[in-house]
Amino acid sequence: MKRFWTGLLAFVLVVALCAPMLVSAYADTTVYYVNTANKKSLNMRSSANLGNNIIETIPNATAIVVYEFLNSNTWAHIGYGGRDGYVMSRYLSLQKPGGDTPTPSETISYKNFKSSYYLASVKPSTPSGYVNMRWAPSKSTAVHDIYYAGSTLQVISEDKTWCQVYDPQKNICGFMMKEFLVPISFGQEALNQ
Amino acid sequence: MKKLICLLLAAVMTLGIACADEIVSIETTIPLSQPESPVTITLTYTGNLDIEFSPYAPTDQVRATVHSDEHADVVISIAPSDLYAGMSMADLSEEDLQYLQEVAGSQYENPSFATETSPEGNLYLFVSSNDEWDVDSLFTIYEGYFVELIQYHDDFAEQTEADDDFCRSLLYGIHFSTDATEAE
Repeated sequence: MKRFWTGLLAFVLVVALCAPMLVSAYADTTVYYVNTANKKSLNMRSSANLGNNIIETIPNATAIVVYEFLNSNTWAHIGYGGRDGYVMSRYLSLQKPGGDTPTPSETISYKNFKSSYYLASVKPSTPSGYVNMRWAPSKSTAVHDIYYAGSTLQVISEDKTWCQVYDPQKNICGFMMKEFLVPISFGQEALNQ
Repeated sequence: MKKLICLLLAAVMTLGIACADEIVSIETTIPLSQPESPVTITLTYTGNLDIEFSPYAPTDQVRATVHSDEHADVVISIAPSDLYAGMSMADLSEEDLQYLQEVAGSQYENPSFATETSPEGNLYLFVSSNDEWDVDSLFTIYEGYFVELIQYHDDFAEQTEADDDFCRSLLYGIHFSTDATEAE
C-alpha cells in the first residue's frame, strides 16, 4: 500500500512539473482556416516540401491549428484530425472563407481603421506574384512599392479590407489589401522582431 | 584596283567587328532551387543583361531581376503550387483559367487580360494593371510551378511598346526542361 501511495505521489509530481511545459509548447498556437479560394482541398504533408508525402487532404474552410510558420513563412506546421503535418501557408486565413463581405475600397476612410500590431507575411494572388503597397487605402491610388511572397511586414492598423503596413527594412509605410496578408505572430512576439 | 580591294576589305572588316560588338549572346540558366524539383529553366537572350538573384526569396522559390539599360526591369519569379501540383496551364479547364484571371487582377480596379502562347507552346496569361501606375505580368504554370515575368519601372511609370517587346523577348527565350524520372 505504501508503494502505491509513493507511486501516485511521483506521478502527480511529474504531471505538475510537465504541465507548464506542455502549456507553453502550444501557447502560441492559433486557429486558421483552409482558404484555397477555388474551393479545392489542401494537401497536408509529412514534411515541409512538395513530394510524395501527402498524408491527408483537408477540405476548404476547415479549421486547423497552426503551431509555427517555416521556410520564410511559406510552410506552416499544423495540427488537423489528431495528426501533425505541413501545409503551404498561402492557403490559410484567419477568417473563415465565405464570411463577411469586405466593404468596397472606395467607401473606406482612415477613420475606420483600428490600431493593431502583428506581423504578417505577404501572400500574392499567385505563388509567383506580387502585392502592391499603395500610398492610401484604395485601388486607385499610386503604387508605393511592390512585395513578393514571403516578405514580412508589420501591420499597424486595419479595417475590413486594408491594412496599414510598415516595412522596417526599407523604413516605409503604406497600405496593402488584407486578403494578401497572412498574420504570423501577434503581441509581444511581433514587437520584438 | 589594288587600292579599291584594300578599301573594300577594310570596310568589310570594320563592319564585321562592329556587328560582333553589338551581338552578344548570353545564355543564362536559372535552376529552381528546391532540391526535389524536376524542372529547370534556361533563359537565352541576345544582348547585354544584368541578372540579380534575390537572396530574400523563400528557399523553394527563385526570384531574379533582369536589369537592362533601356527598358523597364523584369522580375522572373518561379514558385511551386500545391493546388496545381504536376499540372501545366494547358491542362486547366476554362473555369480554372477564368478563376486564375480573376485572382491575378484582383488588386487592380480595371485590369486588362490577354493570353499569349510562347514558341515552346506554353500558354501565358498577361495581366496589366491598366492604370497610371503601370505594372504588367505574364505567367504560366509548368509542371506545378508558377513562372511569372513581372515588369515595371522604378517609378511605376507607363511602359512603352519597347518595354513590352523586351519582356516578350525574355519570354520567348525561356526554355523548360523536365527530368521525368524525378517528377512526382
